[in-house]
Amino acid sequence: MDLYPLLNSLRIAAIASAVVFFAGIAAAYYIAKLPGVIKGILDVIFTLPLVLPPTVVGYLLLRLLGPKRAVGSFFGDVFGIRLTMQWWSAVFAVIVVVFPLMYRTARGAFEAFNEDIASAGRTLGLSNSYIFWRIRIPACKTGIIAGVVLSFARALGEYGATSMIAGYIPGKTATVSTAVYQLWSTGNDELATKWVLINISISAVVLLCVNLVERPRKSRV
Amino acid sequence: MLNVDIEKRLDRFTLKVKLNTDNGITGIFGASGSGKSVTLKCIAGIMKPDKGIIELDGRVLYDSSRRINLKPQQRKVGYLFQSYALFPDMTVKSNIIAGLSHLERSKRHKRADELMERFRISHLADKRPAILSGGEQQRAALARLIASEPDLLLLDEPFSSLDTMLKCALIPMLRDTVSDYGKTCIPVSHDVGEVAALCSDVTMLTDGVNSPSVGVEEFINNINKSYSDSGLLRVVYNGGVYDR
Repeated sequence: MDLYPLLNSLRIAAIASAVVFFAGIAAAYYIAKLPGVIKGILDVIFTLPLVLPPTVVGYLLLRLLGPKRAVGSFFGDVFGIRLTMQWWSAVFAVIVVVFPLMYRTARGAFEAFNEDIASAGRTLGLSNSYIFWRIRIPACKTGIIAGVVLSFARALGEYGATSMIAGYIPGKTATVSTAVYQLWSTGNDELATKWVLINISISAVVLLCVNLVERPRKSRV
Repeated sequence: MLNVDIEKRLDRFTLKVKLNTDNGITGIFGASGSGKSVTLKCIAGIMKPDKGIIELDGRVLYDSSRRINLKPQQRKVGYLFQSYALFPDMTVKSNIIAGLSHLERSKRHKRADELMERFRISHLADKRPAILSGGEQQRAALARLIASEPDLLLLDEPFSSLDTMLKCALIPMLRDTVSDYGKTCIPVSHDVGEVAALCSDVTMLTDGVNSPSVGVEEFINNINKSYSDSGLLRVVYNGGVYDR
């Protein structure tokens, strides 16, 4: 059994989760400081991919990154790189689809943070970056870790936008989810079932991790 | 010496606070929602008034006409939060060390140990705030506050999250701590007893506007009078419970 789809899915999910981790935290932190109207608009834009069909995301990405489109043709002309149909093309798709999960969980965690604690740090003369990295992030870490694990789980399962922007090329762009579809449509149910089971077990383990992280810490002394 | 003359539009009213105090404890007494916390937050630089001036010991902390607005980090104004606002992921000792950033690194541990000794929390040095009782949290927050050596102490409802028995024990301790420290102190409270037991002068804040400050005896007499007018005489005598 060729394990390439699994490895490919894992690296796409890992890279996308890493990007979304920083981008989601930054967006969640800075959006809170914006004036009401801009905040509302950005919040809608950031959350939209959560409710849009992944095919819509895939379509929009193709309109942007396709070889004949603005960004895609720029990269093609200047660097000679094609942005679609590469294994890493899926990273773009996954980032967009998964971003709202990280953004919203991080925002929830930041909103639950008692702002007096940050103010206390400022009156004690602590720098804003110290307060952010040493006080705010640690206090919100449960929500942030849950967000990144959830993002990773969702990233592993992304199908719609991925199949549009990266397609299915065995040994090149194949992922677990696109492999399942391909195997089913070619009647290879036996192998498809194996991948389905692999997918279910990985996702179950990841969700178990989320639960372990979110379980209230009772005896932290 | 603190001089405050600020205005800030709030949802329900416009805050207009004038305050002029020497070293000593001048309490701000008022109902919840009367603008007490906002006043303290403006003095500490956590919130910004619309206009006015705030001076501390001759230093200008805020002056709208000269566009001066020092950051909280530059004000040397200590703030004891109602919820104590201890850093949840640090031990008690690390919390206090966080207040010692003005000292050289090598001296911080020794100073933190001294402060924990003084506030009788040495045995809690390695504990996290969440497992401390209310009184212990208050002592830890006070130790951290004193550690930062501010020029002014702001105490936001310092006793509201403590039960009455604990309050009786802690008010004298707080009063001694503050008078030993020797700098101006502004506690705010909605509790007559607390104010009576803690302060040397009191100003009353009603819907954002404060009365000129008076000595605590006069304040108690005034309150006594309004209470007896309404038949609530005994409540004020409870002020005696708070060791005064």
